[in-house]
Amino acid sequence: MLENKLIQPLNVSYSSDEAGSERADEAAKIVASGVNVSYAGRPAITNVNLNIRSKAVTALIGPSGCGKTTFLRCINRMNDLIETCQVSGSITLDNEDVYGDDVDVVVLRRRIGMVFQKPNPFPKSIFENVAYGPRIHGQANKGDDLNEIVERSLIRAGLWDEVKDRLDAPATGLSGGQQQRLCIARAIAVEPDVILMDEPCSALDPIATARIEELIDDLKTKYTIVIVTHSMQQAARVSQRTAFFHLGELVEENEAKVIFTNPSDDRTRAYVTGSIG
Amino acid sequence: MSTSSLTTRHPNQILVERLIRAILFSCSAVAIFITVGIVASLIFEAALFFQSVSIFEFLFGTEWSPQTALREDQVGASGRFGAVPLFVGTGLISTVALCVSAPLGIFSAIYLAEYASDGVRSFVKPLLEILAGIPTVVYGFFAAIVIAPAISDFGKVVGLEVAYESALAAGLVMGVMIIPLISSISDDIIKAVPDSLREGSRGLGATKSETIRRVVLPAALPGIAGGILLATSRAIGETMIVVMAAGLAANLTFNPLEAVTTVTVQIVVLLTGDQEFDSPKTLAAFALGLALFCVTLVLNVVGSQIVKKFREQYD
Ligand SMILES: Nc1ncnc2c1ncn2[C@@H]1O[C@H](COP(=O)(O)OP(=O)(O)OP(=O)(O)O)[C@@H](O)[C@H]1O
Ligand SMILES: [Mg+2]
Repeated sequence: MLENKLIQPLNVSYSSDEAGSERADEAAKIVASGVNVSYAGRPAITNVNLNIRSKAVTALIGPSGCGKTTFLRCINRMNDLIETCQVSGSITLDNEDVYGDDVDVVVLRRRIGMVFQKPNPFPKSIFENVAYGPRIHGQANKGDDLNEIVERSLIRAGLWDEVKDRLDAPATGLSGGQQQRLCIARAIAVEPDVILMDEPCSALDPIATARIEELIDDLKTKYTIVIVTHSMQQAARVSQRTAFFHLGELVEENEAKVIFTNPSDDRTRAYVTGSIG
Repeated sequence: MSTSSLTTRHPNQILVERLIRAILFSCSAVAIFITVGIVASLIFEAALFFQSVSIFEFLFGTEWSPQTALREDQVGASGRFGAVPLFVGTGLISTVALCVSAPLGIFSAIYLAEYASDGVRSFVKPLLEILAGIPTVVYGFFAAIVIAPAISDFGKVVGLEVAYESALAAGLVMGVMIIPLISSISDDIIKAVPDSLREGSRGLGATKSETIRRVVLPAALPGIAGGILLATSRAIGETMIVVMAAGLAANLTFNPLEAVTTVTVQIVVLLTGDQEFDSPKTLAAFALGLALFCVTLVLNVVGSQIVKKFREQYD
């Protein structure tokens, strides 16, 4: 317990007192230390040390190919699905080693949900999409319990009013923005602690994007959220903490407003002002 | 000057272009005309047949004995042309074939698409293609010489009476023949299900087999059904295996242990040997051919439409 709290991000410096004191208040939900990932021997990210704060939005930004997705997928071990992918270092969730020998990825992924870049509803009804997780985890199999979970999840995802009259309609008939909110509803139906989002708005128009951003802001009261985004405006709007990745390295992590107004690393400054990318 | 150099080469080029176009057009025209011609002759000869035998008797009659008299004054001058026993026989053998090939084909496709490593895949896929490349006459004598006696003997051991030319034997071998067709279509279809769906399911904590059962297969099912329709069409039109392994007598039965005959077998029987060309017996082959053509056409069109729609859905 203590040990994990002692691990500090190596290459992060806290300039403002305010940021430091806030840090002390909030426990780190996820602690990554010395994380290296390589694909078929080629390193993708090296020595990433990052604390992810509970019940807040952490944005991962950086140029294409810098390893944001790779890092995100380490957290819920989705990288296990890629045969060539090798992960070393440690990642803990509530001080428990995510890569521990006796960790069941089924349980892990129930606690760490994921929303993908392109909305990927299953070719089933709206209801069945949301009920999918609860069914496989045996939270509820039928009847009122399941109906309640589905309704609650859709309400939280801000989709209920739009779909309550057509829960049996195919999910693929929804608009892109609705599909993405459905995917969020599907993720929260299994009651995770953490939601990972990989560019969740990149396939959406500005209005749908705004709705998702509102939703993310709302969700952070209950969930720890890690979001990858290419939009600096989005990162500034939704995140409390922002981490900048560059060429497989975590360059800097800090309060969002510090990263965007007064970063300590020149590379971060260059990226957020738009001169590298 | 410049205008003349522009115009001088033109006529030749235009000529060549036109010539190439004309040659290519006539080649495809030939293919289309032949197809139209065959269908037209099927319809024409079948129409002649239906002048002497009512279409009602043909489609709903349950007795098939096409022996007609060779001389006008012979007794029993007209045969019976009720094709139901042939349709049922064809259906019975095809059903046995599908019962074998659908599960084997689909399961092997699931294995190949979802579980097999690239190494295994590159070894098993060509092997399945070899299975598809075996001439059907080889399957035929395999059925007649190996499978049929084995089944018949096995029947004796367990006290069942199994005809030597049972629908079961022909159907089993036909099923083996169709496995590669079903497995390669299903493999394509399963591979066409986007990975994003698998990741979505795994991301929710589903295991690999849960993901396959609950997401991949339901998503692939329409396409696989289309593939099975195509395989059915292939089974119904298959000739060589049934000529060698199925019976000749038109028994009307749904028991796969008995001998049945099929539409294709009867066409072969009707047209081999010396025939009067305009006897009902000969013309009956055209009527059978037309019926076969209609059924396989519908199955092919519906099957390939479904498969095509499926692929487009996930483009
Ligand atoms: N499945 C894979 N196999 C091999 N290499 C991979 C794989 N996935 C990612 N990589 C490599 O790892 C590095 C980091 O990729 P990653 O997808 O994490 O970047 P990213 O920051 O998410 O980029 P983007 O912003 O374009 O999504 C890249 O060099 C990429 O080529
Ligand atoms: Mg990415």
